[in-house]
Amino acid sequence: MSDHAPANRKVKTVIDGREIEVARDTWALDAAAKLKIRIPTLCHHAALTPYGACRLCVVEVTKGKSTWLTTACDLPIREGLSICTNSPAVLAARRMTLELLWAQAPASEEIQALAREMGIAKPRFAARGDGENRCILCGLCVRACEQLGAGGAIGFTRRGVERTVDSPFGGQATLCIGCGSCLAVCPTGHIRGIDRAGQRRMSTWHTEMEMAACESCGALFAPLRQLEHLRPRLAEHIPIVKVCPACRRAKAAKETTLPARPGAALIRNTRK
Amino acid sequence: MARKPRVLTVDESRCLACQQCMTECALAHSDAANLVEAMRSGQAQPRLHVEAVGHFGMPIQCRHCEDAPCAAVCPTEAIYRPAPHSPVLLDADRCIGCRSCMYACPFGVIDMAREGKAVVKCDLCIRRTAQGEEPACVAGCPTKAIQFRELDDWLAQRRHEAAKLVAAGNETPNPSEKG
Ligand code: SF4
Ligand code: FES
Repeated sequence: MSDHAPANRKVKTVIDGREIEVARDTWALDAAAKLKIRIPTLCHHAALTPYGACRLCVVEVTKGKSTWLTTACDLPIREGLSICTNSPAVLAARRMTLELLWAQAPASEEIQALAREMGIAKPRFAARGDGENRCILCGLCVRACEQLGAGGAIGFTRRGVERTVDSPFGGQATLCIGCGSCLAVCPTGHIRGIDRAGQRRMSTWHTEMEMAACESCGALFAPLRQLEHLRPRLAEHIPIVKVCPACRRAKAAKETTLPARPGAALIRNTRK
Repeated sequence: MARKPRVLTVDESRCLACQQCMTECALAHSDAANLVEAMRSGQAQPRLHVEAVGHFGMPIQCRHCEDAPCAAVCPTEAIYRPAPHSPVLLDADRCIGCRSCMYACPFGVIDMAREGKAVVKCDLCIRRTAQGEEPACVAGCPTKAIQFRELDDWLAQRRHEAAKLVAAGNETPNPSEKG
């Protein structure tokens, strides 16, 4: 939903022939979702600002006498719009978009799967570069990284056909906290990371950082920098536990089991 | 709908560590119709864990903390509490997979989903309870070790138990009154 929507004004719109009333400036994609109409997306994430990069969510919009193609994820619903999500023009445009994305990111299994789902058997255009690319420049990783509030460790770099996402100057990303959100949101499997020898390695960003070891079992469970990042976000009385989640569960189980139930302990302590 | 707040309670002396609660939980939180299908889909993932403590088993799940640390650290408000007495919920669509909640939770009960895109956590089976059913772990427990009880009832029982101990001379509620 848009965060610049003014005072909840409702507007009516028609999507694939069905009428729906939504708050003005609701994204067309969300309005369609309310009607359970699924529009394919790659660069969309419910928690991140729309970016309109992948063009897969293309729809046909009609207002008065004019009709045009546009992206649904960043189209705010206004009075008098009628939207079609599956007209021949939409399907043709979407198909072409996907064929171009396939050429851009030929190594991405996700793109290949999507293409097959749309009935595209083989790539039409020559693969770009060495055929190993998986990035479609959708910017989800960059937006997720910004959203995290650690300062934005990665960004777009270079222009035109040379554009890529990278760490500053292709070196260690000094603001990276190693959380792996970029990896989780990437729709095409471009970003690689692995934990090795006490380090979290975000290899796509040429970045390594130290992991915290669980004080109980020794497992390396979280990047030290991420734990530091969380400190000011927690209430003061809540400690950052330097124990891995599995050991926290074991501890919680032990502390709540007989005879150390909290109630029992309370009564015993008063008997000095 | 002014329903009385209810909590999960565990009587660990009844827990057989059979892990039926985990199985039921995994199934209840998948779209699959039965367990075999759920396992095949790779979706089946329990939101609670039965931990071994000596000879006991102890199911551990989200405490739905009043001042939930997971919600406090979440950068996208994917974890939130919709109303004062509601469970702490997760909107998986808003999760960006940063794992902050996993590191903030004092009880270690948030896990990364198998496909690695979002976390999973206990929702006190709000979909089931809205229809008057019990949470899946409670319904599945063969010995009723896990129960879903009204908070007031549960507190009254605990007061009663404590009073009995005191009456039996085993415990003293307040040492300063000892004369
Ligand atoms: S997940 Fe953990 S931190 Fe969040 S409410 Fe539950 S117990 Fe508290
Ligand atoms: S989802 Fe709309 S342009 Fe990518």
